[in-house]
Amino acid sequence: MSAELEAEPTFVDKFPEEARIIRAAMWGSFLALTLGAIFGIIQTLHRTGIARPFSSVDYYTFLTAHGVFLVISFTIFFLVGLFTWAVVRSLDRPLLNTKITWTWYGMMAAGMTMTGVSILAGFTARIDMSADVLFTFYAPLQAHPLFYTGLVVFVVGTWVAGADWFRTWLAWREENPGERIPLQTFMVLTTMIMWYIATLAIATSILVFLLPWSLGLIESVNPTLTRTLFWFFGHPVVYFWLMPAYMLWYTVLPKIAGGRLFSDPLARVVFVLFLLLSTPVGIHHQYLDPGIAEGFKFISMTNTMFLLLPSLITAFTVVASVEYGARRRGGTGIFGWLRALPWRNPAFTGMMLAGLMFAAGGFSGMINAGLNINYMIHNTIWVPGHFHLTVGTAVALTFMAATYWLWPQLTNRPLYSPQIGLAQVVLWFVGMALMTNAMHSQGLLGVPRRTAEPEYAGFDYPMAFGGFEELNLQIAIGGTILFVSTVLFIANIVITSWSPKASGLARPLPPALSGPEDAPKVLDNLRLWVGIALVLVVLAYALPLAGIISNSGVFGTGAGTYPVWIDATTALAERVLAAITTAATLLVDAITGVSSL
Amino acid sequence: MAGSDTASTVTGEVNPPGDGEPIHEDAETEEFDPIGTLALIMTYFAILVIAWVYVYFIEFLSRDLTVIG
Amino acid sequence: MHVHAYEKLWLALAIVLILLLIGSVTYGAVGPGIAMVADSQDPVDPQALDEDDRFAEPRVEQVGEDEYAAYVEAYQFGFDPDPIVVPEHSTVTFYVTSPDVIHGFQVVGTNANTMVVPGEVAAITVEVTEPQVYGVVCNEYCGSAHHAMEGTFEVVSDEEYEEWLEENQDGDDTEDGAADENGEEGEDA
Ligand code: HEM
Ligand SMILES: [Cu+2]
Ligand SMILES: [Cu+2]
Repeated sequence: MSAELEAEPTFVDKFPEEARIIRAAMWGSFLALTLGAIFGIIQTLHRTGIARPFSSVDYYTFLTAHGVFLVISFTIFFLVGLFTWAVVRSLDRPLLNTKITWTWYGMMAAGMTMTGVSILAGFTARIDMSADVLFTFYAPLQAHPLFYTGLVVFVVGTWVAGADWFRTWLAWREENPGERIPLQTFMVLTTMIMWYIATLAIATSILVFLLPWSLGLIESVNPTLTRTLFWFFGHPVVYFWLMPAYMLWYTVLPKIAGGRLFSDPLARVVFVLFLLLSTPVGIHHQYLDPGIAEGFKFISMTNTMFLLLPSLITAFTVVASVEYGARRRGGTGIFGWLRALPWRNPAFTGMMLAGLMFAAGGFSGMINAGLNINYMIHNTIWVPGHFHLTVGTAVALTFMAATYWLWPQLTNRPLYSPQIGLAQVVLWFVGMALMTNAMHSQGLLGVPRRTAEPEYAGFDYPMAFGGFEELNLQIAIGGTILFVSTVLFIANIVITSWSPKASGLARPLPPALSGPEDAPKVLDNLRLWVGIALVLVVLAYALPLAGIISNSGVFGTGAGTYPVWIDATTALAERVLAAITTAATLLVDAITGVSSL
Repeated sequence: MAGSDTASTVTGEVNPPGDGEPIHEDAETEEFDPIGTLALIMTYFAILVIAWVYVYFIEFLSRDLTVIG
Repeated sequence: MHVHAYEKLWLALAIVLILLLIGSVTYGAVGPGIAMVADSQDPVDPQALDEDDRFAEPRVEQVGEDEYAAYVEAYQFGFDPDPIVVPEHSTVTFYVTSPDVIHGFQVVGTNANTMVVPGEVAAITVEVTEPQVYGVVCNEYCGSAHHAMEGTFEVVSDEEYEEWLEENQDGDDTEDGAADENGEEGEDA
C-alpha cells in the first residue's frame, strides 16, 4: 500500500508501556490454554477408555484444573489484555497510571497461582493440599482455603482493572467534553458493570461462607444457598467470556472482511441488553434443584429466552457487516458474495468458523434453557458438548484468530506463519465438530458428564446415534485434533517472538456505516443502566434467596464438611505458603520477562 | 493505530482495505441492502425452528419416564 | 435511530422464535403435565436422616392403588435402596436426599433426572409401564469414586413383584442387610 499507510504507527509504537502489559496478560492467557489443552487431551482419552495412564481419582484433579485454567484463567487474562487494548486504542490516550495496571495484573497472576497450586497439589500425596472441587466448587465438598483465597485475590484484581479503565475513560471525557463514548470503550464499560454486579455474589459466597468454613470458623453452610450464589455469578460470567469475542466480531471482523460495522447504535443496544439481562437468569442452571420453587424457575426461563435477542441481533449485524465487505470486494449474488471473502486470512476464517459454531451452540443452548426439556440433558455430557461450542470455540477460537491479527501490532513482528495459522483454525473447527457432536449424542443416551469412567457395571446404554463406543471414538479423535491445533497456535505465537521486526503492521479500524451520531444519547447514560440492572437483579433474586433462607436457614440444616484435602500441620502449611509466594513471584517475573520479547 | 473508532477524528480517513487486499473503492455506502445476510439468517431461522420442534416434541416428549409431579 | 428494514424483519422473527420456545415449554407443562422438581418437601437434617420417617429406612412403599413411594438415599458412593423395585403399570414418586454432599439422580436415558442436595428432598413422580431394568447414575461429581456411583431401577411384572416382596419381607432387617452391602458409611456420616 501507500507510503503513508506504511508509516502509520502501530499500537506498540504509540503506547509501548500499555502494549507490554497487554502482552503480559496474553502470555498468562496462553500459558493457561497450554495447560488446559494438556489436561483436556488426558481427560478425553481417559473418559473414553482409550488410554488411562492416570488413576480415575486423579481424573477429577485434571478436570478441576482444566475447568479453572480455561474458563477463569485463559479467558479472563485474554479479556483484560484485550480490554486494555480496546480502551487505549479507542480513546487514543494512554492509561492514567501504569503502576495501577501492573498492580492488578500482579494480583490476578498471584491469585491464579494460588488457586492453581492448590489444585495441582492434589496430584501429590506429599503435600496435604488439594482442591478437587471442579470449577463450580459446590459445598459441602470443600477445597483447601488457598483455593478460595486465590479466587478472591484474582477477582479483586479484575475489579481494580475495571476501575483502571473507568478512570482512563473519565480522564478522556474531561479532555473531550460532549463526545460520544467511543464504541469499544462503551463495550468495555458496560461489560465491566455487568461483571461488578455478578462478582458481588461470588465474593459474598466465598468471603461470608466458603472461606471461613474452610478455615473452620463456621461449622456448616447451606448448599443450596452457596450454589445459588455461584450461579448468580455463573451465568453472567458466560457473557463475560463472550463480550470480548462480540467486541472483536463487531469492531475487528468487519474490517478484516474489507467492510465496516453495519450499525454502531445497534451494537450499543446489544451491550446494554446484555448488561441488563445477563444476571437475572442464573437460576436456569438450577432447574432441577429441589430447594427452589417452580415459579422462580419459570421467570428465570422467560428472562433467559429474551436474552437470546441480543445474540440474534448480533448475528444479523455482524454478518451484514461482513457482507458489506464482500460486496466492496466485488462479491455478487445471494450467496455468491461469500466467495469474495478473505478466507486465506486465519484471523478472518477463525472468527467466521467461531461464529458458525456459536450458531450451533445457540441451538443446544435453547434446549438447555427450556425449563422442562432440561430434564433430558441436565448433567449429561450434552452440556460439555454445548459449552465447548460456546466458550470452547466461539470464545476460544475467536481469541486465537484475533491474536493473529493483533499480535503483530503489539510486537511489530509479523506472524511467523499465516498458513499454519489457517490450518490451526480449521483443525480446531474440525476437532470441535467431531467432539461436540458426539458429546451431544452421548448426552441423549444418558451418559453423564464429569465422570472418569462413564461405562457402568449394572446396565448398558441404549443403542442410538452409533452407540456409546463409537461415539467415544469420535470424542477421542476430536479431542486429539484439538490438542494438535492448540500446539500449532502456541508454537506459531512463540516462534513469532523471533521474527525480525518490521514496519507497516498497523491495522486501523474504520468507523461504522451508521455511526454513533445515529444512536440515541440515552444509550451512553451508564448510570441509568446500572440502576435498571440492579432493579432487575433484585426482582429476580430477592424472593428466591428469601425462600432458600427461610426454608433451610443461612447456614443450612446441618450439612457436614467433606474436605477433599486433609488438614495440614501448621509447619507444613507455612512451608507450602512460602513455596507458593516464591512460585508466584517467579511466575510474575517470568511472564513480565517474556512479555518484553 | 488510528485514533478512535467512532469519535469524530476519523472522518477524513480513506477506507483502508481489509488487511492489504484489493477493494472496490466506489462501493455504495448508505443504501446498502444486506440481502445475502437476510437469506442466510432466514435459513438459520428455518433450521432452528425445525430442529426445536423435532427435539422438543419428538425426542423429548416421547421419552420414557416423564416427570409429572 | 436508523434500523434497516431487513433487520426489523429479523427482530420480529426473533421475537416469534422466543415465543415459540416459551410456548412449547408451557405446552409441555399443561399438555403432558410435566412438572418441575421444586421446594415442595420439608427440609431435613442431612446428618440425622435416621430420625426422619422418610429416610430412616430407605425403601419402596405402596401408598395407593398402583402408587408407590421410593425413599432413596444417594450417598458417597451409592444409592439405597438398590435396586429400586416397583411393579409394572404404576405411578412412582422418588423422594431423594443426601446425607453428605450434592449428588445427581438420573434414570439413564430417561427424563427422570434431579439434583440431590443435602438438606433438601427432591420429589419427582413418573409413570412406569412395561417391565424393564433401567440404570441409575449419579450425574453430579461427588468425590473421588463418583464414577462408581450407580444403581438400578427395576420395573417388574406383578408376579415377580409379589415374589420379590416375599423374599424381602422378613421384617425390616433385610432392607438394612441390603444397605450393608452398599457400605454403611452414608448413614453414619
Ligand atoms: C484441547 C482442547 C480441549 C479438549 C480436548 C477438551 C476436552 C474436554 C472434555 C473431554 C471434557 C469433559 C469432561 C467430563 O465432563 O468428564 C471437558 C470439560 C470442560 N472443558 Fe474442555 N476441552 C478442550 C478445550 C476447552 C476450552 C478451550 C475450554 C474453555 C475455554 C474448555 C472448557 C471446559 C470446561 C469448563 C469443562 C467442564 C469442567 C467441569 O465439568 O467441571 N475446554 N473438556
Ligand atoms: Cu447460564
Ligand atoms: Cu456422584
